Amino acid sequence: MRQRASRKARPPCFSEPSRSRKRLIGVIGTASLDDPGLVRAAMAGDELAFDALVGPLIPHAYRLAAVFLRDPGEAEDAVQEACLKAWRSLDRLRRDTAVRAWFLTIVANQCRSMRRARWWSVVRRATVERSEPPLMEGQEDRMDLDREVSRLPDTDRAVLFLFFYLDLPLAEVARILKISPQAAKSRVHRAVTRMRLDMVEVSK
Amino acid sequence: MSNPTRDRIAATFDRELEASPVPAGLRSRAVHAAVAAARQQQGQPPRVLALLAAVLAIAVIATLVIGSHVLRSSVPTRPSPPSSPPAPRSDASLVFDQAHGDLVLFGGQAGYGGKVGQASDNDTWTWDGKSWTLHHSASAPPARISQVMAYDTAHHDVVLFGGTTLTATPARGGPAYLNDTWTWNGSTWKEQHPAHEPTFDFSWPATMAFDPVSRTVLLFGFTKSTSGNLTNMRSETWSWGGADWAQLSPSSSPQGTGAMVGGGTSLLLIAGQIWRWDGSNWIGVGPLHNDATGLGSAAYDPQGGQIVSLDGGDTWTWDGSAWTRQHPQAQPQTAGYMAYFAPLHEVISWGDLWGNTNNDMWAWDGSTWNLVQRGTVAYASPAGQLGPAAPAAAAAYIRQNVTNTSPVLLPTWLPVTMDATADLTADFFNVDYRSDQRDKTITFGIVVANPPPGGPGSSDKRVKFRNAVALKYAPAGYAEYFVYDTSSPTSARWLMWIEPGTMSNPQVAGPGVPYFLSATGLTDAEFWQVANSLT
Repeated sequence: MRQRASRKARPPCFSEPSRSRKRLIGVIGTASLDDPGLVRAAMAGDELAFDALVGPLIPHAYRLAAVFLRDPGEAEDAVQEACLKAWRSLDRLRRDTAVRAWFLTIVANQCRSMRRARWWSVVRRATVERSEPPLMEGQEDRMDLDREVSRLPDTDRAVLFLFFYLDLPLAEVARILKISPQAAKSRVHRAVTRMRLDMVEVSK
Repeated sequence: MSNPTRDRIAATFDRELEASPVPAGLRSRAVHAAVAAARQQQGQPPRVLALLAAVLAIAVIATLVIGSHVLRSSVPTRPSPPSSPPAPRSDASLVFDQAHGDLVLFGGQAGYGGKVGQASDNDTWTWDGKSWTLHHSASAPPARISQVMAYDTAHHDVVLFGGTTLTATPARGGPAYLNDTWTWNGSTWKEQHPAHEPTFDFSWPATMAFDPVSRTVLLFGFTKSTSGNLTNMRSETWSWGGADWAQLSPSSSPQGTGAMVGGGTSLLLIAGQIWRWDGSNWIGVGPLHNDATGLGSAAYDPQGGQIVSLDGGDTWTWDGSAWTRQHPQAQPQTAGYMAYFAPLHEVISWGDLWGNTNNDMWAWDGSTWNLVQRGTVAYASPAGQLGPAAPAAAAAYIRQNVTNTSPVLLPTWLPVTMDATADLTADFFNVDYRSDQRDKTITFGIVVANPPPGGPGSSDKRVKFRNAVALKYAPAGYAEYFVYDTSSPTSARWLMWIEPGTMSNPQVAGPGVPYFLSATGLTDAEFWQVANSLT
């Protein structure tokens, strides 16, 4: 009989911004995201174990894909394909690798490869602009910011999304997007400067 | 980074993503499709064989298509039969078969209270999330009740062990306990022939579930009694590794019956309290909820990270540290067979563990129960039962229907907001008042009470109360007042007396009307305020 693997009393939650999007993954018996037992079970074909590993990350994966690909249908495809690739590469999930970074890296890779595959993305990008109703006071700044973010290169958008929206550390952002931490930091600086927002510190 | 900047950029993404909400069911679809596709690819033959198989398949399909066109001209097509649920049954088993994505239901009996010679079933049903299918397996375990089943995640099959057969009568005239082991592979049953096997007495229910730590199926039950006295039963824990049973030797073990709840990364056993299997011992990790009847059902909900339990007509959840009574808009009327159904990401409750009156299917979505499929039997509360209802409604119901006895007393003061459940005939009634979290309960009624005896810390007094009728154990104007644990301010306590009055039914008529008031979770002062409010 193997001994129960040691684990924290409470599994770590997905670190999201502390605003309204916070979601408790679980309390008892749920996936400790670094639980080797779960990985073993998932590799053995245990759907519940696989779900416990990547299921809670699916909404964030979808949003990342939607930001990357700017197309809900493609984002959905990307997440489904990423799930399959994640299951196939479970054996490459090292014990010291956080599941979140590992899975979101697969999603980002999938998005990049889908983006490369579509020759029409530039054409579609042009159709994003919509006619807006007259703006109320305060809305104009918001719309400017929305426009600026939408005009950023996809990778820069992904950096901002991971760093500001998912509140991930820069090192993890860099790992997911396969860029250096310095490059991730530069991209955040560049984007924020371009959007004329206040920059105080980027060091997480 | 200043927070305003972070919030403004995050809000920008919020607005952008508002137009692309996460599709409903994406998690379920993506995870299921990935595992299914990967499993399929793992089992695929080499490419050359696959090519040959494809050619063969095309030939077969072509033959079938041509053949079906020929046949279609002469054989009328018939619609598929409607998907009727299995008949309501007690003492059956239901588990989620991960490998095939469906629920598997086996055995039980379409009746209540097994008797030797009474037929039980050995039918196997599966539910795929939409419809029920009755399987006609070439081999199947003989008909039985009270067997245990679990999904074996390590071997991708459903394991069934033991039970009680009602069709065979052993020499001593009692039910025959089985100790055979079967596995279900999604289409047929296969009997296993392990070198070792438990010999359980299934008059005390056994329970079984997959242990994610040892990656074996764990079985908890009780050994056969040699004396026929159930108090001599001894609990045993066994594990199934796919080919043989091995008895384990935990140093601590529950002594009462219970239900295993598997899921997530640990295995729990709800038996008198909550126990966790640590790989070699059962470790107590928490108490049961306030209203545990021992007749409830439970399943682990990985979505909410909670145990969900149907017990005492209520839905309870346990988050690892505390029980909470939930307030769903609707819920099953009975404690059903419960299992987490991964494709829907919901806990399913089907039918009734203890009766043959219900075959509804419900799903718990984390906050309420939704009726998935209405059964074929209209469930009706037993005659004379009411509730849960407001105390005033229960009082009106009792006063209207208890017509052979006078006076009908009821409390007019309760310590907290409570709901009431009443059970009555024209002669008697019993009403249970329960607080929201069931931590305070009051039971009152005209009953012939037989309260359990007290321990060394109990107190039994004669107290002046109302105009009670004199009895052998108490003079006129006195009642018997019992407190189970005088060191606990909210100990269980009861009060028993004979109220002057009449019972017109000659079969139960006595010197007056026997009343019994008991409570748990109330202080002495609260208890007497309830007692003194009786009118």
